[in-house]
Amino acid sequence: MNTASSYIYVTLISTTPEKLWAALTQPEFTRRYWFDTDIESDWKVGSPVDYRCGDGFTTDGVIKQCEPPSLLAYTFHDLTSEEASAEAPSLVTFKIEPLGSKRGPLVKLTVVHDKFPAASKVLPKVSGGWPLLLSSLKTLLETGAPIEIDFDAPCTK
Amino acid sequence: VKLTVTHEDFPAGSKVFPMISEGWPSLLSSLKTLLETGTALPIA
Repeated sequence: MNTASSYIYVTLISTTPEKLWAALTQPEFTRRYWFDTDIESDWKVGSPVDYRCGDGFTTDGVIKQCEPPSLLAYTFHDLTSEEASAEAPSLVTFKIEPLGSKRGPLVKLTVVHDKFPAASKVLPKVSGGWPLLLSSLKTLLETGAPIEIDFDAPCTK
Repeated sequence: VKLTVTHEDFPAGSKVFPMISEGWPSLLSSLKTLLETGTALPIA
């Protein structure tokens, strides 16, 4: 039985903290690897964050922590279905740590998605989504092009 | 491809578990980079 109540993903990317921060916060960047999603916010604590998909929104939230280029946290309210919308928001936190050396740029990205309600329907969904988009984010930053994924994302329907 | 690595059946209070929890992300990240670009990550 799976009783996990949080999702954690750790990856190392050959880039700088500033470039990774831009990739997480600039819509012209997010739409390239986040399944065509423009992530919009003024990135100030207390401000809204919206996942825009064409004329609609797939997720909204409120910025809880914003310390460029090392820490970003916002609430995550999934709007892709009636069932998901009815669920209390969870929390997603991005931690960026520089590990670069003379050998080249390197950062450690830790994504923690937690504070889900009991029996969350959103947790299993995001557990399938994060590996796809974070893998593509790494590839985009390291090679200049995202992964081509045939994924039935809300925004690509 | 999608790679899933599962490392389990640790004894209670395992000292190995926290170690490999640090190790796997580093080497699997480097593996992905090596396969995609031909060069491993510059891990010091």
